[in-house]
This record gives sequence, C-alpha cells and structure tokens, in this order.
Amino acid sequence: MTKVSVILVNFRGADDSIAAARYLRQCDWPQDQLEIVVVDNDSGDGSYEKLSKELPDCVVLQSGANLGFAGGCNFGVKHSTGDIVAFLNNDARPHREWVRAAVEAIQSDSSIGCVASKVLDWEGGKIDYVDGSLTWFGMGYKREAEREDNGEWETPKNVLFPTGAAMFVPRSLYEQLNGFDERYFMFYEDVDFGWRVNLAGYNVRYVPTSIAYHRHHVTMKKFGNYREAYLLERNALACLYKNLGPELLRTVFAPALALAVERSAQQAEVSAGQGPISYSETSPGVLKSAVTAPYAVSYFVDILPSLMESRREIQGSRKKSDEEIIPLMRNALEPAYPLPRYLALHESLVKIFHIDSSLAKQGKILVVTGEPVAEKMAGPAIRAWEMCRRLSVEHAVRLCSTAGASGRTSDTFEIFSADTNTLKELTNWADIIIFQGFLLESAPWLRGSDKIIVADIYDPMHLEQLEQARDQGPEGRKRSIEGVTDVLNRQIARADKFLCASEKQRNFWLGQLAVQGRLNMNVLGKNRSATDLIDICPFGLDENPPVQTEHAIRGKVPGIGMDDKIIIWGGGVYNWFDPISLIRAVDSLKDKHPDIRLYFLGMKHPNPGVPDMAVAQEALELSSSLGLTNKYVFFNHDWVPYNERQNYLLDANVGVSTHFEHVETQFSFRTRILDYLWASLPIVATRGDSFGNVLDDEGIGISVEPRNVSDLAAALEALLYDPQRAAACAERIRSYAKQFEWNNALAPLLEFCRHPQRANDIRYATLGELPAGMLGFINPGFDFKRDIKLIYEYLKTGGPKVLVSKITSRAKKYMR
Amino acid sequence: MRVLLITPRSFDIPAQLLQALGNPTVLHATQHDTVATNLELPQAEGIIFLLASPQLVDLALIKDLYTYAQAAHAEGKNVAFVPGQGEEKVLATAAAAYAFDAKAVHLAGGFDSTLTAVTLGIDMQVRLGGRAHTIVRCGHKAITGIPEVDSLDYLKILTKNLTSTRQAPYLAPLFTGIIDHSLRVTGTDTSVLDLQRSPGGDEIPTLSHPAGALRGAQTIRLWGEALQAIETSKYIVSESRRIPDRRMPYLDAFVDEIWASTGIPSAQRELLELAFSDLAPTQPSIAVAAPSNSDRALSRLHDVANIITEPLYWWDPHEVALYEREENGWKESTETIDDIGKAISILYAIESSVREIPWAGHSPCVFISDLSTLNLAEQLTGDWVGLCDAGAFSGSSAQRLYETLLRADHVITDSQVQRDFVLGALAGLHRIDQYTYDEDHSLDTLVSVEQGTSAALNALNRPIHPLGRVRTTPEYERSPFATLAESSQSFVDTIKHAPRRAFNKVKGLRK
Repeated sequence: MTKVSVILVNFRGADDSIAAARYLRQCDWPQDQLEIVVVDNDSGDGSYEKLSKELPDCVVLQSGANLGFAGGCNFGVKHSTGDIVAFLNNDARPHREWVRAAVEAIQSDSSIGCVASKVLDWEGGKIDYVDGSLTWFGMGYKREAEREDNGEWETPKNVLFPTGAAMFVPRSLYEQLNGFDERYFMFYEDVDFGWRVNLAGYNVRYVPTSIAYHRHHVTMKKFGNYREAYLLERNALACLYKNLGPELLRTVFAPALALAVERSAQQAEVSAGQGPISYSETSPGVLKSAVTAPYAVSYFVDILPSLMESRREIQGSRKKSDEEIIPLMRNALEPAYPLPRYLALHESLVKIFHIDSSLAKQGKILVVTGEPVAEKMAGPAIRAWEMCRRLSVEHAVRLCSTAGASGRTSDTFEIFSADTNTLKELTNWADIIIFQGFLLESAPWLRGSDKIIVADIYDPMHLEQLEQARDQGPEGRKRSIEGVTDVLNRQIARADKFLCASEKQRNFWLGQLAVQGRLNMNVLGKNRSATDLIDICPFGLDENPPVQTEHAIRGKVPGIGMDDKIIIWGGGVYNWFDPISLIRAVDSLKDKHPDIRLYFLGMKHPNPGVPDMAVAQEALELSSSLGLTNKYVFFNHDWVPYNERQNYLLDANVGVSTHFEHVETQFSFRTRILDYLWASLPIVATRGDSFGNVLDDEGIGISVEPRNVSDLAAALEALLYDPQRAAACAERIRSYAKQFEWNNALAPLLEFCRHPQRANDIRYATLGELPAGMLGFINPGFDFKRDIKLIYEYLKTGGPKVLVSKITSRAKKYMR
Repeated sequence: MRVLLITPRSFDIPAQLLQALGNPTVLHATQHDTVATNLELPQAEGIIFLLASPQLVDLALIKDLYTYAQAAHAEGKNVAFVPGQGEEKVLATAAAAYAFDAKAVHLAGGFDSTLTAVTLGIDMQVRLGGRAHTIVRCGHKAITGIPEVDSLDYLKILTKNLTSTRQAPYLAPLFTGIIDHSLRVTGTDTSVLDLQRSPGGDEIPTLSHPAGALRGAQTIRLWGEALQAIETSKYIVSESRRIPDRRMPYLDAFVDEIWASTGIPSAQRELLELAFSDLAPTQPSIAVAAPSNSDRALSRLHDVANIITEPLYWWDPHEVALYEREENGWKESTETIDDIGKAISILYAIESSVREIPWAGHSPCVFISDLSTLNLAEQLTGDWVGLCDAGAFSGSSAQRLYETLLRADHVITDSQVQRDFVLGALAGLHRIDQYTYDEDHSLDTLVSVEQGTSAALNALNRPIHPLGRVRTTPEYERSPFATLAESSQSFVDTIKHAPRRAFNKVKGLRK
C-alpha cells in the first residue's frame, strides 16, 4: 500500500488546521498509510502548542520562522516519509475519496507527475479550481472560479498547474524538482511548480474525483491588498523568466513589464478614485498599491543572479517545448483586469509585439454547423456540440450555428446564432475554424484568409443528393447534385485539414482531393503522406452510459405496454433508407408475436431546410394500409430532444437501420447506430455500410441483405425473443463501443488542435493563386411551403438577425 | 540648391543664420505640442538643415557648418554634427545639428511631426539607415555640445523603427534596468511591500519614497502610452524600409547610446544583458536554396557557402529538407520553414524557383536569385507547354522563371548573354522601372554577371530591396512636397490598412 503524507501549513489558524486534519482522518485510505504533517509557520500565537495537543496522531512541526506557504510545504515534506506527498490548505476539507482517487491516478499512469484535485467552495456548489490558466504576462488564474458546479468538469485532463490548495506529487519527483520555489513565499508557487512538472516531461493531471472544499484566502485576508498584488506581480515575473523558452520570453517580457507598471498605476487610480498618478512627482503619500509593480521589479533584479541559475537549469533540461505548454495556458490573451487605460495598452502591446501570433498554437476555435443548435438536434449539430465540449477542455471555443441557436447553454464554450456580421466577428476571432456544410459560401472571405480551416466532410453530401434531390425533378436534381459537388470542391481547395468518418470514406475523399490538386509536392517535410490531410473522426458516443430518468415509450405511447418488445428506428426517414421492408417484416411477425412494436423516433427533421422525403410518406401509407399504425407501428411526428433520447433508447429492445443498396450507403456512417451502441441495444441492420458489415463479426447484432423481408424478420425475432443472444450482444457492445467514445473518436482532431498548422501546399498561396472561378452558390429552388416553415424556424432559433441574413444570402444566390 | 531649415519652436532665428543658409524655408519642430511639418517645397530635392539644439551651436561658425553639409550632401552623406573632429559611420546618434538629403527624407516618408527637434533627427537617421543611406557622425568646431536625450525618446524610436522580434531582446533588460535603476540610485526601500521582509503596517495604505524613485516606472508607463501613436507610424516606416531588420548597420552602437541615456552603471547592464542573453535570435540570417539532385547546384552551394562566414541554412527543395551548417558539414535543422521564413534576412536561391521555396514569396527577406548554373534557353525551349483553364502555362519552366524574377531583389547570371536575356525578361515584367534606373543607370545592382564568387559576395554584402519593389516608392514619388502639404492628393488611400492619421503624423500633414 502506498504511503501518503499530507502537508498542512498553519499560520495563526490552528482551529482551521485542526479541523482539516480531522477531516483527513475520515478519508477512505488506511490510516497507518496516511501521515498528516502540520507545519506551524512561526505563528507566535500559541498555535504550535494547541496543534500539538489537539492532534496527537499527526506530526506537528515548528518551522522556526514564517517560511511562507512554499517554505512551509518544503519543510513539511522534508520531515515526512510518504511515497506520495500531498498538500492541502488548512482552510480546506477533503472529500472522503480525495486521497484514493489521486493515488489511483498516479499509479495507473507513469506520465502523471502531479495530480490536481478538483476544488469546490466550502458548500460544494461552486467551482474554486477545475483548471489552471495563465496569461501571457504571467498571471495565473482560474477561469471557472465562482461558476456553478454543474457536471461540466468531470473529465480528467492535463493542466498547466494544480492549485496548492489540494494536490499530490510522487515524492521522487518533488525532490527532483526541489519542491516549491521558496523565493515566491506565497502565491504562484503552485503555478511555477506545475509548469516545472510539465517542463520535466510529466503531466499535471486534473482528477475530478479527487475533491476538496476550500474557504479560500483566509490567510491573506489578514493583510492589505497591496501585499497580495506585490507578491503576484513579482512572482509572475519570476515564473515567466524561469519557465518560458527564449523565443516566447523574448516576445513577452518587456511588454509584461510595461503592462505590470500600468496595471499597478491604474489599480491605484481606480481604487483611490482620483486622477492619473504620476510616478515622476515626489508624493509623500503615494498609495502602496501604486508601486507594487516597480517594487516587484526591484525584487526581481535583487534575486536575478539566482533566477538566472534556475532558468539555466530548467531550460537546459526541459523535455517539453513551449508549443506543448501554450495550449495548457488556455486563454493566454485574456487581459484579466477591466481597467480602461490598461486594456488599451494591452491591445497595443499584443498588436505591436505580435503576441497573439506567438500564442497562435493555443487555439481559439470556432466550430460552425449549418444545423440548428437547440434542444432537438440532428447528427451534425450533435457532432459540433460534442466537438466543442471536448475541445473546450484545452481551448477557448465558440459554437456557431448558421441556422440559429436557442435553448441550450454551456459553461465551457460560448454559443452564437450567426448573421453575416456575427459570423465575420467570429471568424476574425478564431485561429481555427472547424465547419460542416456550407460555411465557405456564407463566409467567402475565409477563402483568402490565413485562418486554419478544418472541413468536416464526414457526410458526403453530394452522394446524398443523388437520392435526396430525386423529388426536385430532373433539372432541380441536376442543379442540386452539381451545386453540392461544387461546394465540396471549394472546401477541398481551401481547407487545411479534413475530417471523415471511416477508412473507406478517406479513400473516396483522397480521390476528390487529387483532382482538386491537393495531393502535391508541396506537402513539405519528410515522413508525410497524403493521408495526413484527412483524419478519421467517426461520430461518437458519450463516455457516460445513458441513465433513464423516465419512460418515454413504454407505458407512455398509447398502444405500447410495459412488457412489449420494442424495435426502435433511431433517426429520420430519408430516401436512402428502407422503412418499407421493416414494416413488412413487423407485419409478418405480428401474428406470432403480438407484443412486437416498431417505433420511429423522428419523422420531422429539426432543420426546416431538410425537405420531407417520399419514402417517409410511403412508410406512413404502407403502415396504415396494413392496419399496423398505432397498433404495431408507431410514428413520432416530431423530433426527440437530444438530452432526452436515452429515455427512448433504453425503452427499446433492438435498434434497427435498414437501407437500400446505394452508393450513399457505401460511404455513409450511420450516427443512429452510435446511439444503439451507447444504449447497449442489439442491432439489426442492412449490410453495405460501415456498421452493417461488422455486426456479425463483432457479435453485436445481425446483418441482413437489402430488401430481404424474411431475413429481416428472422433477425428481429432472434434478438427480440432470444434473451441469451440479446444479452451476449449487449455485453460485446460495451467493449466494442469504447472506440467510439467521443474522446476517442475525436482524438485526431484534438491532437491536430494542439499543434494546428496550415496545409503545407496552400499556406503560402494568396487569394489570387487559389483555383479560379470557385465561388458560386447552389440554386435552392423555390418551395413556398418549405420557405414558410423555414422563416418560422429561423425566427424561433436565430431571431430576426438570422432570418435577415438568410434572406440576403438567398437573394444573392438568385442574383448570380 | 533649396534649403529647408528646421528649428525648435522656441528658437528666435537670427538674421545671420538665415543669411548664411541662403534664406532657407524655415520650419519649427515641435516642443511637445504637435505641429505640422509643412515642407512647402515644390520639388523633393535639396538639403534639410535641422538645428536641433541651437544653444549648442556657435552661430558665428554656421556658414562653415553649412559648407561642410553641402559637401557631404554632394557625397551622398547625411550628417549628425557633434563636437570634435573626424567622421564615423553610425546608424543614429544625438546631435546638435543635422543635415539630410531632402529627397531621401521625402521617400522615407517625411518627418514625424510628433517628435521634438533632437528626436526628429535621431528618428530620421534610423529610417534613412534602414533605407541604405549613409549616415555619418561628424565632429565640427561649430558644435559645442551634444544634447541630452531622454531614454524614453530613445525607446520610442527603437520601438517605432524595429520589428518586435528585433527589439524585444534589447527591451527586456532595458525595461528591467530602467524601472529598477531609479529605485536603486535613490536608495528606496522596496522591501516595504514584502510580507516576508517587512511584516506589519498594513493599516497604513500609503508610503513615501525619495524624489525620482519612480522615474523609471514613469518612463515605461509613458512608453506604453505612446504605443498607439507609434503603432500607426510604425506601419509607414516598415513599408518604406529597404534593408532587412537583422542587417541594420551599426545598431549595436545605437543601443549603447540608449543604455548610456539610462544612467545604469555598466556592471548592472552586464548583469541584465547576461540574464537575458538567450533571448537574442540565434538562428542564421541567411538561407541558401539548392537542389541536391543537381551537381552544378551543389558545387555552387559549396562555393557560396565558403564565402559566408556566419551560420547558414540550406534548403534542399529536392529532398524537401532543411539543414544547418556545422563544423563538419550540414545537419538536419529542427526549425520549421515558418520559423526561418521570419528569421532570415537573405535568401540565396541557386537553381531554385520561388515556388520551390514556398515561404519566399511572403518573407520580407532579400531574395537573390542565382541563375549562373542554369542554361535558361535550353531549359525553356525543352518544355512542353499545356494550356489549363485559366489560359496560363502552369508548370512550365517559363512560369517558374516568371514567378522568380517577379520576386527577385537581385539576379546573378553566368555571362553577359544571360544577363541580357534576364534584363529582357525583367523588362517584360515591368521590373526595369524609373526608380531602379534612376538609382543605378547600369542596373548592375539589379542583375550582375558572376566572376568566381565576387558577384555573390557583393550581393550578400549589400542586401537591399530595389527602390521599385518598395511599395511606398511610387506613391511618394509622384506626390511633391507642396501637394502633400496641402493634402489635395490623397495617395495614402491606395496604401491598404494605413490609417490616414498615421500618415498625417509621419508626413506632418494637417487638414
């Protein structure tokens, strides 16, 4: 069993320390392997005596001087014996699992050099620490502090630094790094330490199950604000100087000094409520807060010789580059202080010294979807949403829907409805733009920009049009197919990176890339191949298994009982699908199995731009004509909210997906199958697409030939009425589904965004050098009924701005 | 010869001075209040005589000084007058009086009217230096002293005239030193805010400090305040620059002068510079491109590399690889092509077209195209040509030559015959213009014939963008001073992204 030593530093807070030590004894960890070391930092108020008396089962030490937090911690470690050392603020309370969760993480992954615990406020409702952010001028801060803990921060991740309030480090690494830097005395010793852990080649891992509750700043409240400001200023400079590589330090150090001077002057001006402070005059009563930065610089110079030594050592042995550190800084361009003159200076410094481009690798990411972002979302919007969730762990992320956004919020990324002006602002803001669909048509300025553009072409839209546009007549169909193909060609000519859903799709897209001239010599550097241009990121499923909060089908839909056997059709009904054979299969089984039920989850696509398709009407009519509707076959004539779909899925026994034999099928990636996997539903599907072909081999369902009603019926019967077979499928699904968990599915994208770059063949091309005559629009045709619906939906999801933007865009299309 | 006299606003100009200078046009530089420097000359020619510190000039000897200035002007020199004797080339220096060539000043973008008389001179020297004009510091008996220039003014000039990458390694120790120095020399107790070193006294929100203790902090704060104005004028300066940043002549001596203005003792400067010594760019500033599948190119690479004594990159478009020179040959570089595109000042391309060095089109470096190992005619006539959609002949050797000559700042040929061929090609591309011709009637600075490695050496020693390739030249050229002063012809509108107010500040225009 691993022995853990927890260090508590006390300064005139004996009662807090005693309480913290007692909470620690309630942790789920063998008490003989939990050493509690309390360091009294020369409180001089009887603390030591009190601690010694009240905590006989702890090691209580007298430091002999006020060593500060950093010195106190180091002193405690020196006198401890654990294999892992942990630090807990004396005004904090650990959760029962605090130690176990952290130790298990360290032991499960040798790359972890430090565990950053999740820290909540004392009541446990609000965030104190879930991530460590750092500005370019050295200020460490907690972006998420004070927000409600609403379950958004439950994913472990790598961070730049932990909070000293609650953290764990293997003793060997702590000693290798000489512990906290005692020159800091207080504040940023944790920032500096975490940074050094990273530079030493290890990860600082945020572990959300290791939780502590914190009162925060009890110690510092005893002193003037200027004390804190001074310590923050000087320690920020030391942090930058020690830890940044030469190139980044060169860029930011002088601007950071100028900004520090302005910050302290402005803070004093604002707090005093008087005019500008002039440093040039002799002022017998200058506010202490006004001189925090200059005095901090003076201390910095005082200790410069020893800092030089530290810098030499750290930079000489660093294992990670600044490029790897920058993403961990999160939003490093955050000015952090809302002071007018200070903000103006910040803006000038960033512009003149190109600080933004130096931090470009940090990534401000815009994800654009053409589907509405609302409670009810179709596949593309879900995919965009999940990308934002995963990317926002490490980056500043904004989600934009060109079809409007309403009814959904996120604490980790921002959501926008895009009219043209908003879209322009958003694209200007972003370093990386990830999009699906038609963005380059509505934002043509991106073609000539130097933004890093990722085209998510997981949906071969032009192949879809072969069927989808069938209802538009020969001319309309031709226009749609050609138009969408041109749209994709324009994306292919401009994007720096492509995402597709499967290996088969990738081969297809490489062909289209080739004829657009994108497979070329300028793919610079060795060991690169054409496939680097396009990564496989399939649709994903949530890492957390679904939890049913209420029945949505059983006992709820009239005609479906609690014990019926339910087949679920988990998405829309489009022309390339075959609901006809399925309805006939149910018809053939109903007499033998009167409890069989087929439920169509959504007949109405949430995007009003997606037309109703002929096959859907045909299915309704067939079911009705066979007398099955509302007895054996049930249609939801709406769409199910994204956050409620698990209630439907978990009411079902089998998930089904049947389609016709078609080129779209060959390259499609059925997102509804992911939902079945998520809910561990055995699957019956037609062969021919990427999932249909693996069902039998993986033992997760049964595949059938297209249009074969009898085989389909047999397969459904087998999985509905053979409990053992169904259970075996469900069991296998659980391990098979792992690869599709969003973090795994999106791994190539997450990696790309950590080291984003323009495509090597077009990064030096200018607008004029891009393929000529590439800008054009699809003629959308005219459909009064659909357009009225569109107006209603755009008003609902995006408001008048989005509606006006859509009308303008349509008018332009007609004019061309 | 027309003479323009600029003096501080407060200076009462004696008649003898006007007489000595042949009744010049008189302008006043600002004294902290911005006043338009209306040049009021019909033609951009003549001498601009800047009397920055009249109190440091013996006006009885002004005629002598002016005669000297005229002679220097005839030799193409711009002069900073200081006490003593002799001449020394500099980038810029503080002086009591300056003499500039009026046309050079005009094409550099005119005076920055936000500056005082002395700093007006220093700023103009740096800008002319960046355009390859000769600047000399000249000792003259008429000068009795050197004006004192505040370190803030030096910092502003540095920030305005150098790229952020170039100035940042200087600024880090300078800023640290400036803030710290005034506290240190006034014996200020800076430990008073430190909880560890000076606990107690938290109930008192204020403190006292000696006079001047925060002068350094104030300098940095004022520098920050000036950034917005600098930001706008910086654009004009960088657009009219002809020499890459890392090739600015005599920059270190100018930086010494800045340090001297701060009063920081040399031992402290040494400590600060040592502490930030690793911030200085270490990448080579020259890259040679040569394909490794051509023996002729490799041989030429060998010869050219031998005459370059400093660190060097080799870009091999054939292997798609970047190397750095080390003692025993070449090692693969860890730099990305993005990094070197920004870092290098000179790109020397042997048998390599600009499309084979993809970053070259966007890099501000001077691009020397060495065609001396190529048989151009043979190559061009051996090509199949196909028409693509746009009617271009993409992919052919002619297209490559076209792109390369459009970008090249200097071309090296193997013979007079090849030189004539290249000149013809350049003429067809509008590269033989009045600017290039007026500056060098022989056009040898544009196209040279190699003799061993002498042409290569000359080109490497004088990296400069031809006047015609500097974007501001045609705009400034066709706008006489008088027209500019009246602002009746708004050529600035054609310069994208340059805010009008920036130009007004630099040119001294007022509506």
